Amino acid sequence: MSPKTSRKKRIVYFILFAVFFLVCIPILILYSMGYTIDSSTFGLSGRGGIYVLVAEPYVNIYIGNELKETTGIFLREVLVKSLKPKDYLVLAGSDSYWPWAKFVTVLEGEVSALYPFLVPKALPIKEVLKTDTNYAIVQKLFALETKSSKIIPSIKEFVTSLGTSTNLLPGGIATNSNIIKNVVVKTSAEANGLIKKKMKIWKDGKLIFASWLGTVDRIPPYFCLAQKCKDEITVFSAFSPIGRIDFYPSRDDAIMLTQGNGVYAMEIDNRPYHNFYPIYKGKNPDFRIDGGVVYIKDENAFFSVEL
Amino acid sequence: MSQQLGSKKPFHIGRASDLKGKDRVLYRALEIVPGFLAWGTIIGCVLLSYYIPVYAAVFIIIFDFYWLLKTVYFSIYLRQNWRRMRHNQSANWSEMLSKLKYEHVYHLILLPFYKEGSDVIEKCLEALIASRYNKKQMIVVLGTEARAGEYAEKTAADIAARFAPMFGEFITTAHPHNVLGEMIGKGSNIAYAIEEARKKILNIKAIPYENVIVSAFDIDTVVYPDYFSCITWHFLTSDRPYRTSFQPVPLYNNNIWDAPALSRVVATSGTFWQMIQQERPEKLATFSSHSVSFKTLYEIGYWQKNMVSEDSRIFWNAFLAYDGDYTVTPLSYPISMDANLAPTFFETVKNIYKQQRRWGWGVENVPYLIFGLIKNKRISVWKKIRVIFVQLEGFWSLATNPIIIFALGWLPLWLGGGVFNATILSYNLPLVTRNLMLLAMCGLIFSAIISISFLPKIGPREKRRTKLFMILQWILVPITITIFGSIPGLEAQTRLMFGRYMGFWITPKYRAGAI
Repeated sequence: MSPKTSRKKRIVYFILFAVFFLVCIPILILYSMGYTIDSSTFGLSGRGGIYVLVAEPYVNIYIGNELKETTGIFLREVLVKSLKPKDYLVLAGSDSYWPWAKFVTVLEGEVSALYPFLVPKALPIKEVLKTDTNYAIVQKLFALETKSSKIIPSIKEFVTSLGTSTNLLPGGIATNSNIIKNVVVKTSAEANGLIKKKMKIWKDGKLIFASWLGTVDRIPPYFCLAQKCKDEITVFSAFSPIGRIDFYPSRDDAIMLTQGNGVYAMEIDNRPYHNFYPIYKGKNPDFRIDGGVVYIKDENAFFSVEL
Repeated sequence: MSQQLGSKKPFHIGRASDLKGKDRVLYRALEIVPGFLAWGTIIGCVLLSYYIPVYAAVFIIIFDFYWLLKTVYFSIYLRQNWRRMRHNQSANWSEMLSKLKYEHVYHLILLPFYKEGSDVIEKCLEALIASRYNKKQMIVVLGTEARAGEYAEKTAADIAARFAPMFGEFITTAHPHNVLGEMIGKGSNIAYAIEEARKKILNIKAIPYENVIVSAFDIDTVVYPDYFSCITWHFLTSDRPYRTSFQPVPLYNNNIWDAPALSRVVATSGTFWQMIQQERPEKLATFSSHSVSFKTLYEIGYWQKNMVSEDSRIFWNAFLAYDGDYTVTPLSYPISMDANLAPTFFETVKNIYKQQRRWGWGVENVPYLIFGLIKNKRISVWKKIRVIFVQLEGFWSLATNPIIIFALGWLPLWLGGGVFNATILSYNLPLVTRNLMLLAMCGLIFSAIISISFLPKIGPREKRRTKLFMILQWILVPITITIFGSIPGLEAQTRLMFGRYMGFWITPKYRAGAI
């Protein structure tokens, strides 16, 4: 007769498992909450993290000048935990895209989520010829006075002066734009703003604004500074009037705009670096977006670019 | 034979409405307890995830780790019982028995059936004949239901004509229909059958009740060759053979090669649970086919006739009747039964769910047990607390644990809001949960190996079903323990909570090629 597991043995098993459970649980919880043992002080040290999600494949992601990940066909994200609370420069880019950079402040127990806005360096801009089948459709698109083209700066109730300028880096990265300067503007322009998902954008002369229409707990971090969140932010302050604005195709956190002789794309996140990219340079361009295609009209010529 | 039938009969309460006054209120409240605990946990998780997601996430991580350790802890017992079963299957029980005086021991075998086909009954009886025990010491009672009509009556008569000469005694009984105070089910049938056997065989042949071991089998039970030798050995070597029930390990091998993977996994999971419990006998109650001395059954008034899960209730009846001085003796020896199988896959799935719900309805024993323990002043408080805790924790785990692990674990991420979702805890929660579950699932490899070792020989008809499928099927566990474990368990507890009592559902017996 094979012996049964004795009661004494079972009690020993139970105690061993209970002790192991009680020892491991605090460690597991502290680890999950971002705590680690500091190698210098041997004390508990709270850490934070950075999460980067990129839509494009084969993009290098650097955090603090260290290559953390290169995205692939399936893997498009990177989560770096155990970062000491401080400011980090996050870079994303590849040979095909303009570099994207952002300074983020990592806080203890928190993760800063970033969704890099990448624009290809070589955009496949094609002229739409009169012989093309879609020529008439494109013509109609520009003939329509869509909402965004009607945003005219007028009847300001209150305007705050803006003193800072935008400096473009060689790669197209703008620095030190008007960051989180609270501008309480109530204009007809705002009333005519464009809405995509929970984001609203509008322009007023040389300024572009954005406001968050969703719940406070889902507000993007660039609406908040030092734990204080604002209803709206100034996304961009230009030297000369801005023409048309619209949301960048497939994103609700980036804008396309015309200014002077160019069409540009920029992210709404105005924390440094404020990433700003050229799309088209011409004489007096205007654009329309139809699905994922941007149509540009310059003088009497039409162009299309798929983004 | 000086004792009266049911001289130690405990309460035979089926539901709260069987009582009056304060007792009825108390019993009704106790019926609510298991469902309240299960729903309280689930709703609590949802509310916690919404209002204080950090606490919810911490709770889930603690719970996941607890579950991982629980699976490791149980796998130790599973392994030990597996070794014990393999040893017991290869042991020479006849030789062991030959060293004892055992010729006076009779086996009264109760085989209740309703409308099952004669092939199912034949297989059961052929296994009895094939067993290595003196058939002349076997008393077989084929108990049918009067409400099953002519078909069952004729089947019983045919079977009796063919098999009766092979056993010491063989009778057929027909449990009358519409008896006041009885519920349709196995309990009322076997209680009637055993009393008939007492009057018609034991009393007439003057067989002492204390020399009779009763095996209450489901009709699809197929005994292994040494079952009766094994049980007789345990009975004769037990310190207190009248204060214990004998519990074999149910394997579901009769039709395992024909049953779909879902059915196999659910059935084998049930086997594993019984094996684990066999190593922890103080937590074991009788389940499905089991054996008890006639003397004990006679004293406690046989099985209850007014409830569904009589297989476990008979243990609690005895436990209360003998003031807590009653145990289950684990045999670590198998019997084989049918896995759920129907002509179509969908019907099989439906039947699995219904069977699991019926087993989950074993929760009806919880109010009975607690009520009985409250009324019984001779059982120590510590023992009462321990027994109640084991039962409540068992049914609570059945109904909630897989739901917490596989569904509610993600709730803080969905309901926690942006502030929580920006915390490192929210990012770690799915990673920690996934890793802990992956570790827990490693135990499935061990489960697969054990399940393979129990499989009957592969026949030519089953060539397509290689053992590989028998291993791969274990990836279905997260689905089976949720859909065929938690949900039917929760439904049963919810029904009890709201007083929507279940009736007896007979699992249809079907074997491929039998029809």
